[in-house]
Formats: sequence, structure tokens, C-alpha cells
Amino acid sequence: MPVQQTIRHATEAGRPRRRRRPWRGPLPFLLPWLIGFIALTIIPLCLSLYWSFTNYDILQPPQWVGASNYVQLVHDPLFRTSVINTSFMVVIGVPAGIVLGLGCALLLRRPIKGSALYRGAIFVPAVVPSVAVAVIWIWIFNPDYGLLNAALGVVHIKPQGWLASPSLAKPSLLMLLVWEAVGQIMVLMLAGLKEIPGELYEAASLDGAKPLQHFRYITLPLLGPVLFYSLIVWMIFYLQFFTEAFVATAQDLGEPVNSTLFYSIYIYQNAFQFLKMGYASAMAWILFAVTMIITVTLFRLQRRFIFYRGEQRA
Amino acid sequence: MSIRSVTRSLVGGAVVLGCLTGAATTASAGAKVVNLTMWQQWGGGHEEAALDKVIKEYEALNPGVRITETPVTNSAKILTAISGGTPPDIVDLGTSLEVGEWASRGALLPMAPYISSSHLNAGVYVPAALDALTVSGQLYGLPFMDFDVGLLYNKTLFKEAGLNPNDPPTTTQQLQSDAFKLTKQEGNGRITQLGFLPDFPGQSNGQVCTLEDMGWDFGGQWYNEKTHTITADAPQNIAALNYEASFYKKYGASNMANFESSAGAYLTANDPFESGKLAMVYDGPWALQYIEANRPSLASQIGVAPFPAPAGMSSLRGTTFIDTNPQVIPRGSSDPSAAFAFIKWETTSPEVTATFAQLVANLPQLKKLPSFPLANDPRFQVFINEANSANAHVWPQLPYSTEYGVRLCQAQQSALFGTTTAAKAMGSLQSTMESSASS
Repeated sequence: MPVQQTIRHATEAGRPRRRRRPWRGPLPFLLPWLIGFIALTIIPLCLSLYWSFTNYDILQPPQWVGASNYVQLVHDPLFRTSVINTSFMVVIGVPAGIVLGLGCALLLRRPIKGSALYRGAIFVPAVVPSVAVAVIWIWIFNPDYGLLNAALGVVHIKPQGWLASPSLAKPSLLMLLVWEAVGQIMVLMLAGLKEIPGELYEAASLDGAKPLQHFRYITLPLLGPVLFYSLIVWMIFYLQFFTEAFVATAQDLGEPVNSTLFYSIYIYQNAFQFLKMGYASAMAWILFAVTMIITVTLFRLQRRFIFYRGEQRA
Repeated sequence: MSIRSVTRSLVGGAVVLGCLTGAATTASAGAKVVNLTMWQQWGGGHEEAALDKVIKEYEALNPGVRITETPVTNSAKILTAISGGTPPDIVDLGTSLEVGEWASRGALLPMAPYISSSHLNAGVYVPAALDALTVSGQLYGLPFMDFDVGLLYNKTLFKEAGLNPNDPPTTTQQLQSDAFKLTKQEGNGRITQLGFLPDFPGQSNGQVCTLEDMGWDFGGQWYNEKTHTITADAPQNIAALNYEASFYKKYGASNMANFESSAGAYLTANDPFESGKLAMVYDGPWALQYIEANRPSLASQIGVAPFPAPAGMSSLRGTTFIDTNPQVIPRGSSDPSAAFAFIKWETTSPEVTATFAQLVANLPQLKKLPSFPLANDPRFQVFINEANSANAHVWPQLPYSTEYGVRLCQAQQSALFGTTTAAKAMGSLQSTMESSASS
């Protein structure tokens, strides 16, 4: 190698040159994902926004109708029903799941005999596919042969038509959903609890704090970020609730008497049964906007309630 | 869009011309083979095997044609294929429910040009079955295996209740009083035996919403073909729904719902009728076949009669919907003429018709009845006679037929469960569908 070149290499190595195209290297590796992301997410997303302002039935080209789909939604009684049904799931289901998940985590945080087994048992539903869960619960809910009524029969409670009754169908599905969620929330909470340093409890005990005060002043504040994460994630999940309700009422969506007509089910029905793609797209964008607004609001509020470790507060 | 369709039709025309002019040479050369794909709804098992035999027979008669069938029951999948421009050449649908929606949006090819060029006499088909495939005056498929419903009743239960097993009810009032005698309810409300369940099998079991039939049975109609208006809130339809609701009122809606949901799946040995818990049902000829297979001892105890009509309206006895398994050619089919030739042969062949009618216990779509064992069964004849009567009705074929059907069922449920009155349920259905029709 000629001397001059060697010197040039050496100087280059010594003074790191700013690379002009940092994406060039990773790009080929990212490309497969990027193509999929653009083709299957970004483009459909933009198209659905456009379609929400049109009458579109897949078979014919879309016709621009302005905001008419959105206006029509306001006057659609079933849209209101689906909003109420979904709100019920979110407002009751999310807190119930978190409280129960946290409860299980608190009970099982110390290594008692068989705690791994209990944790495993509670977590198992999270591993079962949603469709299988729904099918199992349809049998559990069976009025004559179901496990649930058999168990109630032991304590002399009248058998109930869980999924058949318009007043019970929603709470029944909620029960199923919470059963699925508790395990996952518990695992998160267990991890969160592990992060809390034992010295804090020790110091508090020396100051004479009772277990309830431990929970109120140490556990709960330090678990804040985990609780907040669970709240956001499960709220979004419940807003989109679809699979189990779809399986449980496959032939006649929303039965009985529209009590299980959730928002996503009504989107599906409009899109694929009634061929109202524009109307369904409008519904989907409203769901997106609502989810966004709730999430942003919660993020704003969290600054007041959630404390992150290592964070300085005035 | 227009450029694409023009090119497509040019190419299609060229292919058709090529086939016609080259027909003589291809047969001798044996080189050119027309490959047709067919999506069928019969699923796997012995029905698919029967269809394969039919296809083999056709291929033997027409050496230049190859047909590949695939079971596809998901209508969203068919729709996606048509809108994506890569449909199968023939679709064999299980019901005409979507024909109105698809045809009015240009997804299906009208039959008229092929009928005239192949000199098919559409008069060979049961007229009501053709109505099920007619959208704004145009025919969009050929019928295959029709089906309708009548009153099936369990003679053993009739005897136990002190009723004459050979005297089924002829009026809806009689049906109700018989049903009440046939019902057993425990003190806590639990129903152990039920005379009649007005919304069974219905939409929740993949069948037609029973209120459709009941509305016609009470002299109502769902759509006025002359004025092109929806008539969901016709007084006869409301009366029909009130009649259905009276059963729910008497025994308690939740008890009725529990009765149905605790039974096994429809058309299994544990479904309410086959397990001997339900005495009467508004159902089709296929139910007889399933009972024969699932509970052979019960089969001889099942009677069939035309469904009763309200007192004083005896001419409406035997009211039923009628539908068929439409054989349609989607827009974008690679060779519509060849596809039509097959469905014409399939639906007009007396042998194929007889084989399938016997196999699936559906009604022959041909006016001139081919001979098959089931055709001699007086119970099966009840359904055949109904199909050819003026009381056989077709659900209106409109751009929003599915929505109308689904919402009709929702309205029915809310009235049966008492969350609203029959009149209000039908009124709100009327206004919802009017706004769907106008948008």
C-alpha cells in the first residue's frame, strides 16, 4: 500500500467522518417489513379515511358524499346501542381486570408453597386463543348443562340463561374477558412489585406503618407506571372488543336483542354484511379518534397522579 | 375503470369468438381445453362427492371442458374475489340472499344473452325459484335445488297431550291452543317441553328469519313491487309479530330463551325438535332427512302439514318462503359461455336433479318432477305442492336485501323479548330501511 494512501486512511480513522446516508446499511434489512407496513397498513389507513367520506360497496367505485356518513351515524339508533355496549365493557371491564390482577399479584408475590402453580393457573387463559376461549365459555354458560349453572345449583341459585338473556349476555361476556385479562395483568403487576425496593417497606415498618399503609403509601405509588400502562393497553383492547362476541353470536350478530352488538361487531356488520364500507370506515375513524382523545387525556392527567422512580418533583 | 372494462370485454369477446370459430378445429385437435373453476357451497363429504360425479359426467360429455370445484361458503371471500377481478367462473350459492345486492352492483352476469343464444326455455323451472334470482326484471342465475318450509309436528307428543295426531292445526289460533296444551313448564319457570317456538330455527341457526314467513302468512308483504316501497310496518306484519310475541309473553321471554339455548345445535339429535322437547316447528324437508339419520325411531312419528293460516284466511294456508341454490356467473368469469353451458346442463338434467334432491332432501327446481324415492313420500309432497302454489313467496331482491333481512330479525327479537312493542319495532325497521334505500 502506498504511503500516501495509508496516511489518508489513518487520518480518516482518526477524524470520524459524518456518514451522510445512515439508512443505507439497515435499509435492505428493513425493507421487507417496510413494504408490508406501507402496503398493508399505511395505504389501507389512508384509503379508509377517504372511503369514510364516500358510499363504497367494494363492487362499484366509491362515490363522494362528504360528511354524510358521519351525519347519518348520529341518527343511527344501533350506533348508539353499540357505543353504550362497548362503554359498558370498558368502564366496568378495565377497572375490574386491573383490581383483580393486582389482587392476585399481591396474594402471590411472596414465594408461598405452590405459588408458581397458582400463578401458572391464573395465567393459562392468556395462552389460550380467543376463539377457543369463547367456545369453552359458550359451554360453561349453557343454561341446562353448563358448569356455571351447575355450580350455582349447589348453593340453590336458580339457573340463568347467561348468553340467552338480553340483560345477562353482556355481563357474561365481560366475565369471560376479565378471566382472560387477569392473568396477564397479574404477571405485569408481579414484575412491578419486584421492582419496589424492600428497604422502603423496612423503613416504613420501623416508623410503625401498618400493612394497609404500606400498600397505600409505598406499593400503590410505586406501581403507578405499571397501573397506567395496564389502563391504557386494556382500554384500547376493550374498545376494540370483537372476537369472543363474534364467535358467541356467529349466526346472528349482536343477539340477543342487540345486547352484544359491540362497536367493532357493528363495524363488521356494516362492512361485510351490508356492504357499507364507507359507513364502516367512518365508524372506524370515530373509534380511532375517541381512542386517541382518551389516551392523550390520560397521558396529560398521569403527570399529576403517576410517579416515576428517579424523577425529581418540586 | 371504463377503459379496463372495455379492454376486458374486448378480450372476452375475442375469446368467445375464438371458441366459436375454433370449436370444430379444437375438438379434432384436442389441444385446447377450457378450464373452469367452480366455488360450491355443499362443503366436503357425500354432497361434494355427488357434485364431483356430476362434473365427471359433464366432462365426459364435453371433452374440451375441465371443471375444478372448491368448497367456499364464506360470501366475503367470494365478494373479495369478484371485486379483485379474479373470481371463479361459476359460483354455486346456498341461498339467494346476496343475489340482489351483488347483481344490482354489477357483480353478477345477467343470464338473458346466454339463455337466448343457447335456446334455453326458462319455463322448465319452478317459477317461484326464478323469482328468487330476478333483480329488477333481470335473471341473474339458474336455480338448483329449491327449498321451502311447512309445519312439522311430533305425533307422539300430540298423543301424549290428548290431541289427535292425524289432525294437525289448520288455523294459527288452533296452533296456539294446541301449542299451549303441548307445553310443560316447571314451577320455577323452566320449560321442559314446548308446543311451538315461533322464532325457531330462524337466523340464529343460519335459517331464514321466521317473521318473513309469518308476515306473509298473516297476509302481509315486505316490499311492494309496484310502488317500489318497503312495507315493513304493514298492519299484517305487525299482527304476525304480535302473534309470535304472544308465545313469549305467556311463558316468559327468558324461559323461552333458556329453552332454546340449552338445546343442542340445530339438526343434531339434541336440537329441540329432534330431542322431542319441541312439538311443532316451521321448518323444511331437510329436517326430515336429519331426523331419519339422527333418531330413526322418531322419524315415522313426524307429521308434515301446510303451515296454518289465521282463521278466515284459509287460502293462505301453506304459506312459505321459497329459495334456491343459485348457480351464478360472476363478473370477470374467464369463459361465461362455457360456464353457462355447464349450469344449464346441471340445472335442466332430470338425472342430476333427481340425484341431488334425494341426497339433500331439497325440492327439484324443475317443474316436471323427475322420479326419485323421496318424491313418493307424502310428507315431502307437501313441500313440493307448496313450492308451486301462490303462497310461495320470495324475499325481495334489492340492493339492501341482506340488511333488510338482518334488521328484520333484530326487530323481531326486540319485540319477542318485550324491549319494544311489535308496532314500534316494525315502525323503526321501516324508517331504518327507508334511509338505507335512499342512501
